[in-house]
Amino acid sequence: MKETQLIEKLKENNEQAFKILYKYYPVIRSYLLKFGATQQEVEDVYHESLFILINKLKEPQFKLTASVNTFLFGICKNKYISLNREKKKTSEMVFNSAHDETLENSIQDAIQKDKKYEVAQKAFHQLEESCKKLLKAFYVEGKRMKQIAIEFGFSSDKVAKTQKYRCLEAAKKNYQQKA
Amino acid sequence: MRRELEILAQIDDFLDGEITKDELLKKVGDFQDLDTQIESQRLLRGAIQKEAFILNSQKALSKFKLFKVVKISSFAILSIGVITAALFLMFGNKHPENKSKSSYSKITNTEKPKAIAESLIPSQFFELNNLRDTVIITEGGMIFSIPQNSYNTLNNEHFKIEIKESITPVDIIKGGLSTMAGATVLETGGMFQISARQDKEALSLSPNQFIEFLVPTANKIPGMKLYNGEVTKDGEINWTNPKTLANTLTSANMNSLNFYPAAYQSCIKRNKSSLKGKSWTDSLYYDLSNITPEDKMIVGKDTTYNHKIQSCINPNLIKAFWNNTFNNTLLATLEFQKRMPLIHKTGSDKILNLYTSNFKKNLYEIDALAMKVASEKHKNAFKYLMQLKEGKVAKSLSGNQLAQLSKAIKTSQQKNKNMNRNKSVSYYRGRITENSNSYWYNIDVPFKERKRRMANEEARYHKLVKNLKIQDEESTSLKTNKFVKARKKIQINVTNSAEFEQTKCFAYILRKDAYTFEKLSIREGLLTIEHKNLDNYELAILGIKEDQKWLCIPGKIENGSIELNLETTKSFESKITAIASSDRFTENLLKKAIKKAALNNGISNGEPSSRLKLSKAIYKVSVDTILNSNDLNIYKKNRFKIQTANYDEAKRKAPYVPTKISSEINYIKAFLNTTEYTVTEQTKPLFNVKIFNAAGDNILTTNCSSNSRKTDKDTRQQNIAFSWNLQDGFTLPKGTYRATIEYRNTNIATQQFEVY
Repeated sequence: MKETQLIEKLKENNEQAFKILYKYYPVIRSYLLKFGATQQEVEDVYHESLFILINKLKEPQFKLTASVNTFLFGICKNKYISLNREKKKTSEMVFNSAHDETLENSIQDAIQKDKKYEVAQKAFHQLEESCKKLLKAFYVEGKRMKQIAIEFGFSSDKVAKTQKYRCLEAAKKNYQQKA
Repeated sequence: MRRELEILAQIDDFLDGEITKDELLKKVGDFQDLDTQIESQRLLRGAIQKEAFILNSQKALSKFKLFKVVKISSFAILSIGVITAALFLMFGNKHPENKSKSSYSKITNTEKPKAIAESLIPSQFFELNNLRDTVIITEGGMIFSIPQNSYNTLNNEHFKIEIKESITPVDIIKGGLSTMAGATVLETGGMFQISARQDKEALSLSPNQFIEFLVPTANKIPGMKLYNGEVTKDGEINWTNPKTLANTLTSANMNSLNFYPAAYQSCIKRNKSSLKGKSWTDSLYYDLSNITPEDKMIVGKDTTYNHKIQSCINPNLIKAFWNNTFNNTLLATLEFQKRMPLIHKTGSDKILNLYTSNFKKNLYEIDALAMKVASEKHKNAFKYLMQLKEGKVAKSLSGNQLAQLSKAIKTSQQKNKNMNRNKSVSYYRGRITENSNSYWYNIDVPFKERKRRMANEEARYHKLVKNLKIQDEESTSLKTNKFVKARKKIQINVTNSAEFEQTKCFAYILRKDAYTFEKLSIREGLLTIEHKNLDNYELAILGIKEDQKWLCIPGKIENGSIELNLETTKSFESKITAIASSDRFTENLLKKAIKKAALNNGISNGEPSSRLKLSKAIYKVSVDTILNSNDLNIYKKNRFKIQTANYDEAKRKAPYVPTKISSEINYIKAFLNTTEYTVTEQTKPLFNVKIFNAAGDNILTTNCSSNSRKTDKDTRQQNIAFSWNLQDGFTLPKGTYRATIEYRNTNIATQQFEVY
């Protein structure tokens, strides 16, 4: 698959395109393990980096100046560095800096934007399970209110809608407390 | 819907592109911080989508990996089939004996199994230069001394050391480690893994080289050995191949060591005199050589300090060796420093002399001699020290090496201060003589061996209890535990264990009186425990998910169902420390014993009994009195004492509380006990007290009103007490004050005091 095709398919969340990205996983894994990452950390960093990659590719004004593989690799590396910094590990890790300054700037920008989600994620985690499921059903699975009302046992779609916004309001309160 | 929920819905529509910003503004009207609300809602929606994305990605990656494994396995099976067929065709008819070894396919080195602990315990990395001696201090206070050229580096001298450590019970349990050598239960002093790498290559120790390590501990247990860890197929670590620990003494610079009696130190700290520096505290301590041991000098009724001096080691004897001349001898070691408080307690110059005169002997040999000489109440303490088998100083260290090691020990002890509740820290010391990657080490003693020693410790507590005259049925619990012979089987259903990976949900049974960690697995939600005498154990069941810890500590180990609860990091650590700390046995018994003794002596809870005070106060000094040696002679005939206090009439029980804090002082008392003068109604007015501040002003002339001048009923003619109230709003400023008492305008006694 050509690079441009790959990018387009990734924007559409195409499964085949993701499979191509998973092929890069062993290389990234061995690189991070060498610098002391645990298996769990490697996986966490990898999945978060994929999310960052897709979000960045979806930005209308963004133009990728390297291959998708290189970009993903750079995100993983920088994400791991920032994770390390947060955990205040005693290690001093020396990485070769990227040669492409534009690419490096794009990576840093993408990671910074993603960091804003961290507080929101924590706020979301604090919700009750039923609220989490309800919000996921609407915002992720794209289910209609009628369907949600049936699945969750609400008396009508209006009640389901009210409950959905109550859950969102609770999440916002948690977010404002943490932010 | 409520207006607030309506606004959320409108923001949703805006974020979905269904309405423009202007339309949104029209609909919500005058709403504060609309942009902030929009941003937070956008982030929340994004966070929800991110969660779902990551979950899907994890599932997809797992599928991909499984597909890959299946693909490779199929290819491997097919290849093996093809090769076997080919081999059969080529060599199948020939005699087996004619086959050369080389025709058999080689078994390649498979990757060693990785321990579960490796993913649960964080690594610490250190960059080293192979051309230099290096001392590493880890986060937990472990010390590694790595001499130059220890490793076979390849290209250049720079390489990395990776260390994983588990010393505290929380680290051991979080790391999923256990203390088992096959079926033998071990008691641990700490575990660690150390490996070295240069770029991608693993490094091994050079021949005849070794790394020295020091593992900190608050309660050094005799008989500890160094075990190697073998990782089993299921990722657990089995401890094998025990080797004796080096047990050499830990050298330190004499100036960094502390040989003061404990009571002197606490007195210095109370007066904040330690801020004046070591040379000041040293000179004050050595000056005390002039005071002969006497059971006397209790000054008045309301004194802050008791001048009770009992038997003590003459400070001049300490002065004789507490200098750099004795560096690199057994006196300049942490181990000898640890013994000094005990030697002070004995008050025996003879015992001190044993240590200062036998440099060629092993320390444990001197402990044995001390044990013979010591009085009954101290014998067991020396016996315990002897059993640690601490030897000699390993080799003379250069000034730089000594300084490096002393600095490392100081840093390590600071790190351990909180962990060990300010107790002084000892070290297990050993050597690693060969090292390959993924080597785990554990400092252990088999628990059965430990039990024998515990019986000795039980005897120590028996004696303590006896001395404190506890008549309590509970004292019988101090006898050696008798184990129930039959093994009991308990089954506990862990209802939410399915939420965790199997390797990250497990249980520990922990002895209540020893530092053992027996790990048990949970299979299909069921925890099975087969053990003798579970009354001696605590049970902790835990689950680990990402960075979260889930825990349950049942009150009783019995059949039933439990659910793991999510804990914060703080609550998890405090709960584990409460049941798994090595201090719990020692401290609880001691606290209990002291509390009982206090109650028996009729003193309220928390107050030590007067008997216990006496036994602890080997050496108590009032710094105020000794500061001016000239005053000492006068003091003997005219004992003059000043005290500042806070007086609150409203408090019935304790209206009068001595204090030196400026903002609290509203009352001053002075007391004179004289053998030189007679105190009568006629002579009372002839005594006059003055208190001078640093500027030389008598503060009693202003802002103070005399409250009383009275004599003691029983010793009327020898005692006189004065008191003054400070006027409202007036406080005694911080600083040093000098109080004098005059008789007929002649100074008869002087006292100095501080206000903080």
